[in-house]
Amino acid sequence: MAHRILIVEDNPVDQRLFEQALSDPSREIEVCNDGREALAAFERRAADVVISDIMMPNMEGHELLRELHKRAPGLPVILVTRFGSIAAAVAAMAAGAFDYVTKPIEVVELQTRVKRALELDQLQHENSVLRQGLSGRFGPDSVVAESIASRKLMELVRRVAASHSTVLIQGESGTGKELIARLVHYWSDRVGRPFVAVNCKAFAESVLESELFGHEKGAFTGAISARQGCFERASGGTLLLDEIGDISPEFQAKLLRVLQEGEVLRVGGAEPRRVNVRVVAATNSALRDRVAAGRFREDLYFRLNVIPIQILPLRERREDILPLARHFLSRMAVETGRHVTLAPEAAEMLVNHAWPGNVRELENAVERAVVLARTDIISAADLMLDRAGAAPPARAPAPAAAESGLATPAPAPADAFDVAELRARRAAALEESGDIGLSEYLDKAAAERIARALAKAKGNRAEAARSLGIGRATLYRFMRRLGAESIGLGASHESGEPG
Amino acid sequence: MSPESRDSRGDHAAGAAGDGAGGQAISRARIDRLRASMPGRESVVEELIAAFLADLPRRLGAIAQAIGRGDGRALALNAHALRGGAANFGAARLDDLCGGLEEAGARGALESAPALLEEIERESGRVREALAALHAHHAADCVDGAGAHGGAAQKSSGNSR
Repeated sequence: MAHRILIVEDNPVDQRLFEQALSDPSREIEVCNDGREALAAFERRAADVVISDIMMPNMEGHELLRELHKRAPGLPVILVTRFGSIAAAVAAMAAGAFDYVTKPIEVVELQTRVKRALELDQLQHENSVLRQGLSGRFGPDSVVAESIASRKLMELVRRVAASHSTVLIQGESGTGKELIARLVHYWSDRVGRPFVAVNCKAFAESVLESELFGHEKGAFTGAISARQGCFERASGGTLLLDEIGDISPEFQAKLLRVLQEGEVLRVGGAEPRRVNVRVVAATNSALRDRVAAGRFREDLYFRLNVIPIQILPLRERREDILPLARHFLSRMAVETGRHVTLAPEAAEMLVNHAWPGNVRELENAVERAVVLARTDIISAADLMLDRAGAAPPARAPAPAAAESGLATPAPAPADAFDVAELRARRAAALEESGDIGLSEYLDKAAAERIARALAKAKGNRAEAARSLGIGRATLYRFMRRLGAESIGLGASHESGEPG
Repeated sequence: MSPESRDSRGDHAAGAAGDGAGGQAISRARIDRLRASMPGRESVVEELIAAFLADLPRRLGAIAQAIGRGDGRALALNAHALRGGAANFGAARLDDLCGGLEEAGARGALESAPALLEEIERESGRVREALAALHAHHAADCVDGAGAHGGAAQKSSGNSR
């Protein structure tokens, strides 16, 4: 992407000089007459470097610097002072300017300083790329794609990522739509810029508008200050609009306008703001059917569906099941230092299960099995998969030959969690109460065990995790999923815990 | 920002244009250096001169109005902008005079402003003439040299010395 430079200067000679001195095919330069104009230009579209005179009408350089840093704290701003004015130069640096240049402008000096500022911006960008890449859970190396369908999907994602087109991801709940959206982002030239995901279904209509487009101070009761929306926050990056099929016809019209114009209007705002965001939409419903039923605008559908990506449910790509399960086990091994493997019959059970909740259900089942397993080998019983969820035998391939090489279960320690007892309790509970689901029951069992471990460790989570044979991150993930209350902790204990 | 005295980078010893009773109106050395700092785009200097000449009457008018209104802030801003443009051509005296006006405006002490403006108008005339001559000279050189900008710039520089 071209570097964007804002020049803020009110005399036409210096405007032209700055513009010409910095002109380069890899740069996009916008000239503004004063600070207020510059701030509006920056809000329409962020810049990589701002060069501003100090003395200007409307808003002076120092105030502009403060306002810009409120919006983009690391933004390199170069202030322009008079030659020989040490006091002004010192004040510029003290105010947080990246650098200063003096008038009359020495072209080579200006070019050098701007180049340095852009290099800093590039370094910050690369740093951000590395940080994002290191979040291994969504990094390219963490992708498990064993089946032909998944490999083709990955090929498609790589090709799609390189373009700037809008993408529509469709797939059942739990198939990994957000992962695909993140890969579209990470494998594109937008990596290092923000990735913002918003679940459209999670917000009431009125809140969704403010959430996506932002609002101005006083736009509604409680709007005590202006706030950027997701579109603005994702500036330069990618915005995932999840559950897009559930937005109302009125909101569909507003979203269509934003996608067509490339501008958002904050709630209560008067001036639209230009946004440079790649939109990836996702839905678990067949959007085409909603269009046919008149519940989704056809023009918006075509605007979103520039590049369609369909993710198959897990039951239709069974070759992925065991690699995925092992991937989850490896991740837990990294977190916990505990290397848990699958017994052959457990692997067979995983492959045969129907996985209505797809990859998310598989991930939860594997994590839960690690917590509940008595040994470092997960048996079929440890998985506690509901037989009702098993796939018809004809569709279930036999477990891979490699699985036969897995170790056999070791005898259980006397003090370990008793799976047989759990099964008996589950049967009893199911008998007593027909409306309790297996997952819920198993979650309760896991919660009880975690609560016991925490009590024994007097609330020390690290110790509790050790005694459970899991890592702290896994424990936290469980606690989050199960809810702090269900394991006997107040909600306040849960807030601020690392993920 | 408090206004400072004029550019002390020593441009004026190197060459002069627009000499008259008041000394050098602009600095050829400064202009040549500016031209040389953008190889392949030497004609930018002519654009800068054109921009300055076009802005000058408007800026002088805005200064006169600010003095008339007693608006120190507007006076300081316009004087600052004018001296910023002038400094690019090494117009040291105009730069100095505008600095005085900027300071007067910033302090809100406008008593001396009308007299300063008169001086600025006179000096602006000298700068305008010197730049216009340079501009015309360069344009003629460009025609003579069939648009060979680099050669024209060098020739122009040599002729004036």
